[in-house]
Amino acid sequence: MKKFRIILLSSFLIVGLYSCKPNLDGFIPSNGDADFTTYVSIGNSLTAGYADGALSRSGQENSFPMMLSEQFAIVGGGDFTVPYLPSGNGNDGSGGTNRVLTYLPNCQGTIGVTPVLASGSAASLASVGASGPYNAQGVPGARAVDALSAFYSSLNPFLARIVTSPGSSSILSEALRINPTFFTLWLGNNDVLGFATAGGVGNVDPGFPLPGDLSDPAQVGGALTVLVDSLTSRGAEGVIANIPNVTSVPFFTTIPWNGVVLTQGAADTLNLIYQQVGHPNIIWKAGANPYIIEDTTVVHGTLRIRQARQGELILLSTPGDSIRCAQWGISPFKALGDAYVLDENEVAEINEHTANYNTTISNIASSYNIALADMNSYMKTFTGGVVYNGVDLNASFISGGAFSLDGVHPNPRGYALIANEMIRVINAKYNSTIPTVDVTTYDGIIFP
Amino acid sequence: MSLALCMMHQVVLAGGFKIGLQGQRQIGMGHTGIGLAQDAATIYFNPAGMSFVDNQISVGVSGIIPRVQFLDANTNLITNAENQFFTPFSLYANYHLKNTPLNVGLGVYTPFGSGVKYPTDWSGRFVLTSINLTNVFLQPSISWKLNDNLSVGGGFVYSLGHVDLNRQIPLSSNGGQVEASGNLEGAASGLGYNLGVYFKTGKVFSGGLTYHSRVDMKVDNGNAVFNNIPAAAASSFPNTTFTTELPLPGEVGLGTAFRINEDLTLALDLNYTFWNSFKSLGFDYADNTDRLTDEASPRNYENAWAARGGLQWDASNRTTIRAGLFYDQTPVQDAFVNPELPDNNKIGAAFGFSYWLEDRLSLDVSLLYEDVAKRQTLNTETQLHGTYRTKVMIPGVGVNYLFGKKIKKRTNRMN
Repeated sequence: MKKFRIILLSSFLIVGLYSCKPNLDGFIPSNGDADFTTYVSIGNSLTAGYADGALSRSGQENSFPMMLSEQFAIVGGGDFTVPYLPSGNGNDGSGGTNRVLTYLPNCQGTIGVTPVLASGSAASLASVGASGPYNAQGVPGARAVDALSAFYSSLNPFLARIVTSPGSSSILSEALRINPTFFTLWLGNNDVLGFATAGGVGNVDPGFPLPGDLSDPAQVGGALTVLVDSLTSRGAEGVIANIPNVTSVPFFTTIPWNGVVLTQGAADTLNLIYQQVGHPNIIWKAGANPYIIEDTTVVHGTLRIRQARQGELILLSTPGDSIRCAQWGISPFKALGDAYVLDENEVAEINEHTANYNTTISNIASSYNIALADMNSYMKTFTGGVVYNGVDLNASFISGGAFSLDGVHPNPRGYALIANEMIRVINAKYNSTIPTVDVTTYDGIIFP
Repeated sequence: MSLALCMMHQVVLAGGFKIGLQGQRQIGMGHTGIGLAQDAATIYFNPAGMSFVDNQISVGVSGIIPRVQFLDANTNLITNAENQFFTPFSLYANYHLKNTPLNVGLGVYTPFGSGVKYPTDWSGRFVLTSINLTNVFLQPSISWKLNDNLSVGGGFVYSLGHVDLNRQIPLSSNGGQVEASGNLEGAASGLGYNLGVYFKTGKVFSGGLTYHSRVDMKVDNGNAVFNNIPAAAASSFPNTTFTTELPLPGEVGLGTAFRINEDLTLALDLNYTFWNSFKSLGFDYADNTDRLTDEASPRNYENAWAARGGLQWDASNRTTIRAGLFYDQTPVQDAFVNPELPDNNKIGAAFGFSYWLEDRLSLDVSLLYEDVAKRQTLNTETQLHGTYRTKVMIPGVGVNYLFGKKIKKRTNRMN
C-alpha cells in the first residue's frame, strides 16, 4: 500500500513536471486591408539607413525599411532586395568614411570620447544597377524636388549606383519598376536640412533649388503628389512620413546658444575688451553667456557682431576645440560665422517651411487615403526622452542613445523606434496587426 | 492527469513574495492552520496552538521549479525564464515545561522569498535579468495555556535575508559585442514578532486569531558591482556599496476548525496581509554619479486577502489524507507588475497525506498546485508591456517525531 502510493505519486510528479511548460499564445498577425507582397521604400538617407555620417552595409542592414520588411514577411511580405555596399567602412558620398568613437584629449587636455572618421578607405560606390531594381531605394541626399528628375541620377552617386542608366532613371521611375503593392515614402527632410545644416547660407524658395537652398513648399508638394499619385494609381497602398523639426535632432541642440560660462573675473576682462572695440552694449557676466555671432545687419559699433539670442541654434559642425580654447564665439574678432549659426530669421524660415511641407504631406495622405506617419510629432518625444523596456532614450548627442555620431541620423536603436512608429501607423490605417520590432536587439551607441 | 497537475503558478507561492509553504500537513489542507493546531508548525501558524500540541519536532522541505514565460505585447515574442530549483524549508520544535502551563518552542522557516532568472539577452534585460530573495525567520516562542479551552502565545522573530539582483546596462562596446551589467548583492536582517490566541470547545470546534508583525529587512552594506562598463563611462559606474530596505508585510489571520465526525476535520482560514507597506524598491548608493543615481522604483502594493479551506480524513490508524483549496489575492497592481514578480490572483489546490512509519514517527507528504490567471501589464515606469505566465509544481515532504508522551492513537485528531 505504501509503495503503491509512493509510486503513484512519483509518476504524477514526473509527468507533471515535464508537462508544466507555460504556453502563452500571442496575437495572430494579420495584413489587414493592405498587401505587403512587394514593398518599396522611397526616401533619402533616413530610408537608406545612413548613420554616423555615411552609408554603410551595417547601416543598410539596420535601416527602418529592412526592419519593416522583416515584420511584413510575417504577414505575407515577399523578398526585400537591398543594394548592399561592401561590408566594412561606409561612404559619405564623396569618399569619406563613417565616424567612430575614439578616445582623444581635447585642447584642454581632457580625454573624452570623440567621433572621428574611421580609418581605412570608404566603401566602393560601384554600380550594382544591373541587379536592380531594388526594393530598398533610399537615396542619401535626395530631396523631394529631386525625385522626378532623371538628371539627378547622374548627380547623386548613391542613386547612380543602383539605377540601370544614370541620367535617364529617376527616383520615381526606379520605384515604379518594382511594381510595389506597398510603399513607404519619406522625402522632404533634405529640402530643409541641407539649408539648415549649412547654417542657412543658401537661398530661400529659388526657382531651381540647389542643395543647401530651402525648397519652395509648392515644389516639394508637387513632387510628392506626383510620386504618390503614380504609386497609388497603380494600386499600391502605403505610408507617407512628414518632416521632423530641426530642433528634434542633436546637430542643432547640442551646443547651447548661451554656452560661454565665465567667472566674474573673466567677464570683467571681456567687458573691458568689448568697450575698447566699441561694443559696450555687449555685457558679460558671471555664469552662462550667449555666444558672439556674426550678423551683417548690426549697425551699431565697429564690428558686425552681436550676442546670440535664445532660440538661435549653434550647429554641431562648429569646431569644439575652437570654442573651448581659441576664443571662438567669445572674442569680438572671432564671432561664430553664419555657417555655424541659425539665427532667428533662419530658424523662422526653417520652421515655416517645415510646417508648410507637413501641411502638404498631411493633405496628400488624406486625399490619396494612405497612412500618415507624423514623424515630426513622434521625434519631438525624443527630446523629453522615451522609455523602451527600461531603456531611456533621448535626443542628446551620444549619451541619449538614439542618434548616431553625425547628430542628424538615428543609430540602429533609434531607427527601430522609427520602424515601430511606422508599424503603429500602418496597423491603425490598414487594420493590420503587424508585430513591432524588439528595439533592444539593435545597437545603440558603441563605445570604443 | 498531467494536464490537471499542470496548473499555472507564480514564482512564489502566496500573494506577493510571501511563501505559503510553512508546514507539510498544513500545505495539504490549503495552508490552513491558524485554528487547527496539529503539529509543531503551529509555531508559525499560531504560536498559542503550542499549548494543545504534544512535544514534537516537525521538519519539512518543498521543491519549487517555477517556469516563467513572458509574451511581449508589442513584438509578439516569447521569453522563457531559465529553470531554477528552490527549496523553502521549515523546522519546528515544541516542548511542554512540566508542571507549568507553558510550552516553549523554536521555529526556523522561510516565509518570504522569490527567484527568477531570465536570459541575459531578453528584451527586459535592462529592467532585470535575475533576482534571488532568500529569507529565514528564527522564531523562539512561548505559549501559555490559560485553561483547557484557551491559550495565548507569541514568538520573537529574528529574520535573516539575502538579496541578489542582476540587470544589464545599455552601454555597449567592442563593436557592440559586449554589453555592460550590474549586480546588487547584500545581506539583510530584521526583527519582528508573532502573536496568537487559540481556543477550543470540547472536541468539535477550535479557532485562532494571529498577528504577524511587519519585519523591515535592511541591507546596510550591499555591494554594487558593475561589469563591462566602457572606459568612457567607467567613472559613472564606480563599484560601490548600497543600502536598501524591503518591508516584509504584517498580517492578521483568523482560523477555525470543525470536527465533522470521528475521522473528518474541516479547517478554514482567512489572512489579510498589509502589503501597502511596500511602496517602492529603492537603492541608495554610497557613491552617486551622473549615471548612478539613487533609485526608487514604485511598487505601490495593495493590502490583500487570502481565504483557505482544508479537509483531513483519518483513513486508517496509520494514514491521514488531506485536501485543500485557497484563493489568494495579488497585492500587485497592473501598472506595477515587474519581471521580478509577475504575480496575480490565484486559486490553489492541494493534496497531502501522513503515513505513520511507527508510533512516534510520521512521514508527511504534500503536493500543491496553483492556478494563476495570466497577468497582462503595461508597466508605467519601464514600459515593459506584455503577459506573464508561470507554472510550477510544489511537491513537499516532511517528518514529524513525537517524544515524551505515550501515543494512543497515531492519526490526527482534535487534541
